[in-house]
Amino acid sequence: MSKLRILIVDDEEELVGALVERLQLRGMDAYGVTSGAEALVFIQTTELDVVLLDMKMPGLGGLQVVKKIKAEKPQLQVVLLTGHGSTEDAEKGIECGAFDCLMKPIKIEELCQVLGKAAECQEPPAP
Amino acid sequence: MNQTGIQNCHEQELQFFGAISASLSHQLNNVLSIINENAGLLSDMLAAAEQGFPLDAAKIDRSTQRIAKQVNRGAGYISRMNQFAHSVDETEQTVDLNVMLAQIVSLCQRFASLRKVALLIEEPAPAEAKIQACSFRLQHLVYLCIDLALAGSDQESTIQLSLAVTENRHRLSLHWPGSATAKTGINEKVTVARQMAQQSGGEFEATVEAGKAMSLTLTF
Repeated sequence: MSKLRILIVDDEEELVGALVERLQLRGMDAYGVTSGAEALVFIQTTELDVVLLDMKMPGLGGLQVVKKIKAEKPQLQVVLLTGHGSTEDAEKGIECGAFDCLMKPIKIEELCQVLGKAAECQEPPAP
Repeated sequence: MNQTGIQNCHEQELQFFGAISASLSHQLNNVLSIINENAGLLSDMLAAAEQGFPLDAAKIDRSTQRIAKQVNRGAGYISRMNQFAHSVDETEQTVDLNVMLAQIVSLCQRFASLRKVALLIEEPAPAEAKIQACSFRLQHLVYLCIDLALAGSDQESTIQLSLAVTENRHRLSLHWPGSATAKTGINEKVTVARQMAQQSGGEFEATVEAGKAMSLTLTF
């Protein structure tokens, strides 16, 4: 099976840096950007399986970015990250087409599992 | 003020307390997340070292520095949360307006940052600006003004806050470029801010017309 290609989008640069390295250590091709606008540019130039996206960011928020990603690249899966205890944001994200929503702080094993499932769902059905 | 007015004030104050608490808890959660990932990365590196991969001292140093930085950042949030929580302790006390303004602007920075708007306190500040008041109510009032200014701002703009003292009157002003388009909810926010200013014994003036520079003034 080929390496998972993941883009991490969060305005907390030091979170992105550490998470990119942790996913790389687990055999994934992980990249990081710190804004929704950068993410929308990045997905145009790099083949990806899953975007891991923070909900609350300056400028374009997570929900806006999910909608744009799904409009431009419907096959690309999005997993949302939220720091809120409420499930309301998660529900909104799923309604917008996100695959799943995880609460921060993340458990790395859970994250890897969800990313793997999301990538599997991205594959087109067998003819 | 009638019973409905008092109830409305209490609701507004509770909303303010909730908004600030939620914002601080969100920021603390971000701090914990960064610590969690960097501590996890250290643990991953140790696990790799046990399997014979060499430890990278520079990477270890970078992660420990990130953790130390986030501990300081978290301590700052906790300090602000504590000061804010204690602002309800006294119904009247001597309030240093320079300190109060710096505190509430600091508490509102995240709201501004999410909208890509900058909050800037103009220098020089008055040498002495102290009044007898309820610190919590004053912070609430300034928060309402900042909230109103943010609602009437476009991205990448700056809201300037200035404090002036003349003839025993204290004046806090907010100026910003305004927005080319009319924003919904502005008039309601003006009404609430005016009511709360009157409740606190102050005066409130607003110039909030779409397409023009906007300003708010609170006078005590």
